[in-house]
Amino acid sequence: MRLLLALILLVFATFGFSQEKFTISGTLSDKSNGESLIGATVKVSGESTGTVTNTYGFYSLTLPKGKYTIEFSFVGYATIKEEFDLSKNIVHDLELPLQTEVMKEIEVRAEAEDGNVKDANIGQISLEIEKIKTLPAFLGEVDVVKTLQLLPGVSSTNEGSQGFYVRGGGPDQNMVLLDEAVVYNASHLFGFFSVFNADAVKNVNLIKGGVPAKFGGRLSSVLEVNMNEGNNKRWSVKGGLGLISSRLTVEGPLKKDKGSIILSGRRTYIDLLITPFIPKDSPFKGSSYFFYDLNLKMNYRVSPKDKIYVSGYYGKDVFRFVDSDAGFDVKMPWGNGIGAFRWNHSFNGKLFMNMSATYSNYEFSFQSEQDGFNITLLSRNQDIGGKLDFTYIPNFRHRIEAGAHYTYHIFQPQNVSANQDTIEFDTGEIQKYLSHEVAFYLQDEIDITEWFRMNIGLRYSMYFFTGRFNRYVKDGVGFQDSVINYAPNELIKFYHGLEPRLSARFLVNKWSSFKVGFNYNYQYVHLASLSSVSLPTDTWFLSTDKAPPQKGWQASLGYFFNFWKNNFEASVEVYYKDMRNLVEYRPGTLPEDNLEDNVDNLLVFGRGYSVGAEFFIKKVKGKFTGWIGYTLAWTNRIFDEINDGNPFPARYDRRHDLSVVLSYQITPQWNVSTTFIYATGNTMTMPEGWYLHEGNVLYEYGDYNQTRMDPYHRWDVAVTWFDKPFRFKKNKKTGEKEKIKRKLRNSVTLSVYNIYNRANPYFLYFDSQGDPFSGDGGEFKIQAKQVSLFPILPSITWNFKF
Amino acid sequence: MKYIVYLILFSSLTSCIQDITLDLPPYETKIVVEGRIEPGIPPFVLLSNSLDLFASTSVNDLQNNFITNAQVFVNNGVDTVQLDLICTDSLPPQFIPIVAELLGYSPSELQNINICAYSTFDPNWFGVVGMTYNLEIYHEGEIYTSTTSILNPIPLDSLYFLERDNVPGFGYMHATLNDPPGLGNAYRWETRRTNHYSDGTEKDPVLIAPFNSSFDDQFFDGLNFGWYYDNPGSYDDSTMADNVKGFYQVGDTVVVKWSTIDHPVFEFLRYEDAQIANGGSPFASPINIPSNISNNGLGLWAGFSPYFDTVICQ
Repeated sequence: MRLLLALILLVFATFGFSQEKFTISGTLSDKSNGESLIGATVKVSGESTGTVTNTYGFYSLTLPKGKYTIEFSFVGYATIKEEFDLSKNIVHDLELPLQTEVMKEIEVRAEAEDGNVKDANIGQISLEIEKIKTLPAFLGEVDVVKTLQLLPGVSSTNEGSQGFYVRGGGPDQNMVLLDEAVVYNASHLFGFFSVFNADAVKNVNLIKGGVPAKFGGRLSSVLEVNMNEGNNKRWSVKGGLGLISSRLTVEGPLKKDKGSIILSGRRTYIDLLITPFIPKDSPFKGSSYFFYDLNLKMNYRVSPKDKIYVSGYYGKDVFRFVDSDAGFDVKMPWGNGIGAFRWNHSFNGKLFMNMSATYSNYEFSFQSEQDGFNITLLSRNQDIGGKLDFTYIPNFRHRIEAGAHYTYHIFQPQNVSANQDTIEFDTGEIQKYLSHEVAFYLQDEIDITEWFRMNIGLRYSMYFFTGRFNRYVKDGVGFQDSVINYAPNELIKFYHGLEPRLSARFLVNKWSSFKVGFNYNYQYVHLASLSSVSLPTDTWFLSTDKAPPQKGWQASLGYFFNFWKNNFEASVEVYYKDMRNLVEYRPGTLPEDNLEDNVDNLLVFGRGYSVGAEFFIKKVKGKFTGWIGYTLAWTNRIFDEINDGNPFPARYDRRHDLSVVLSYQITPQWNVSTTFIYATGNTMTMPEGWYLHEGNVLYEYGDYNQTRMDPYHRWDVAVTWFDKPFRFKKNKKTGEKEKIKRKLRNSVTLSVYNIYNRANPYFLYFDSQGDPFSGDGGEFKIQAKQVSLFPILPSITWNFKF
Repeated sequence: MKYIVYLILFSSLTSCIQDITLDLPPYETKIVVEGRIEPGIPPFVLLSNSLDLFASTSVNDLQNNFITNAQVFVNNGVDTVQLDLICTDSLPPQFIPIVAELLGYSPSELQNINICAYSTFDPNWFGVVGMTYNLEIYHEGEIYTSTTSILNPIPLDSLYFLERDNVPGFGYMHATLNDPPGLGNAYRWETRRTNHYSDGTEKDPVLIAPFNSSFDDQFFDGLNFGWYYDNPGSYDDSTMADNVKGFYQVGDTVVVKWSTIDHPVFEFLRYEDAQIANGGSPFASPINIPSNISNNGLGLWAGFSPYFDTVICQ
């Protein structure tokens, strides 16, 4: 703590030695559509002095009085240099032209030259959406989460498993934010697709280590996804037709250069394609599956210093299974609804404020009807939140951020109601868990010297678990002993804690640096799964008097270096992560045990740790780009009630994880790309023996997660054709050919998934073969079977915009 | 949960299944107990060893897997009796169907394998309602114990066949129950079609439990509760078309055995059903079935208190 205070004093002491300084501030945006640019560079020409724009495109650069040439640059955009006489504070908003729209003499940058070496971020990666769109995609559906899983330290368990896993953390340990609102289930169709429609997404930023103090609430990572703001210059339309879904986006100015609106929608149509082929007299007529999502965003610049944003997302998966012969009808819808209102205010060029109000809702329901017997299961998570964040940039070497966050959680995990005709079954009262989560933070990024940059922060989080709540007290056999009724707003349990954060960069030379990161986090929400893969049925619940918050810390060390004139970026990171109060269902818990009970009565708590090394090399310039990532890791769990308290590997423990992503721009019209993945197989708990009871073959399971599936590997290829941006037309008067810009732009992507038709394991099961009692002398044998989902799958997608 | 499997398969019409070899740790066998006692019927205890998962098992292997060198005792709280080893090859033919029913094998299966179980024909040790029976097994220096009770039977309130509107001539077996107040009552449903095929053979030679045959009164304690079950014998009935599998047929004579069971027996049967249902599902967690046999034994010592009723489907 003394060290912390000393550092804070050092930080604030820098104020005292300032000479007369002035600030140039403003926002950077795309000239073609007014979209603000996140992470764009603003620097003094020829010097390392500079800054980057924040999530809202805002920048602030404070320099001693004088004349400067300032460079404004961003990946894929022209770099603009302008002269400024800094004898007063200047507000300067700028629009950067796209690389494809500039004259040859204007310098074009493909990537920040050495940002990865110079910034203090460790374990952070941003994805470029336009690059993602040319990579091979499953059934042609471009997916940001699938692309994230190609990065070191990030994995999925397999095809058909939702969520993602970061450095040995569970899927609930990732804070997924869409325009600052929490997304509880970022998957459609069990993880085959994510909820993020690539046409509606502006940028993706993943923080898997060295998490800054302004983020909290999860142990493993933060995934920030920001939606496009909409074109504030002109109305435009873009969309795509794929094998299984279509997309359409409409955007345009609310008032030119002041505000814009974007509306984007996507829907799958497997159900529509299959329905005509189901005979009318089929008992399964009416069965279907589809998902859809809608994104809406509006922004408006109220004054030069104020901008407001309204964002919304609504998406749903709908599955229906009908068997009219059995009188059976099941509906299973699930999905997210999200809303966010944000207000940006720039006080004086040095002080920037963002105020947000957010609402998140995730619902899963299951409705079954058979011959008058109805059963309904509903799980629902709601978050109502507010954030107030300030960024103060006293000079170009120094950035201070502080703020307060509040969330009201309303969770209803797995409430069941059932009736048969007029009889209502006693499935217990609706379980509602209510809590208030509050956090304050302060973080400071400062260049102590030219070679030493530090980002130090402290977050203090508080959690109030309150009534109204019924605590079911059970006897030893599991029958209800008594019920404790807590009154509305009655404080049942209070948790709180300090969460120190630190990341630092030590510049070795212009091309390389060492970085360290440390973060300590509290997590007050949990996800428990009764299945061996992650599903929408998994139960989200809150910390309670019986379920303490998860706590975890992570330390990481990295060496970052660029070479071959910054054509290549490379890094090696090692990490250790320790996690406490992790949750699992008590061994042997069955789904129906959740009824008429508190979920936390069925849980056991334990710890986990993960240690690993990540190697990453990325080619960032030229026609040939891409990356290779490799992770070597160990992830274990220790629960007193599981495996006799002995450590066991987590189900997503992966010893080796290799991803190769390559893209080659053959000509401006043709791009070819490929991805290759190799990952150690998932762990599983398998039977080791069997026995007979009443003629049934019953299994005896061994220790947890002691069996591994075969490794997962897959090679995908994609070819994309872009039409030419111009066409030629003969001028009738002059007779000469004139270049005319096309209004309608097209591209077609042909993807081949799993090109060498690898049968990757999806799940394993056992099949008993033969009948020992048949008397034919045959043998009885149990055979392990592997189910694989997708063979080689070609797909084609047409994208357009006008 | 099975609907999720449908959905996954619906979404991946191209899935494929292949045999694989798994490298599993060495397995240590355990004793398996299949024991039961019912009113008016002697106790039967079948002992065997659990087996390595991938062991190939012929009829001879299975026969050698039964334990015949144990000492088995039953105690009713007052007296103790040692059970005798009785083998099916030495049973009078008229006892074969009774033993087959008790052990869950068909009479034809019993003809192919000689099963030796521990029992007694002393009528003083036939099961009595309201009694608690303790089981003690001595085998290879180890002692295994268990306890079960024959509770008071709770009869069905009604039992009837109901023909389905859209499948004329076929339907499910329906029942209602007045559950006595007080949580913890648990039940098991088994049925048997006693009418014959055209070749003269009985449709169901033994009682068969349908899927999810056991439930307790957690959600309907003290209420009048109704339900129906499918016909478990239909799935192996080659005379029934696929679209009527699961149904009883007009003309069937159906015996229903409705047993009251104690909590450990219910838990075993509940988990047994869950394990069979989950078999191989990627969406289910691995479940070991909780046995009421001590000393790491597997299986069940079960007291059943049955109520029998017969329905002619019409």
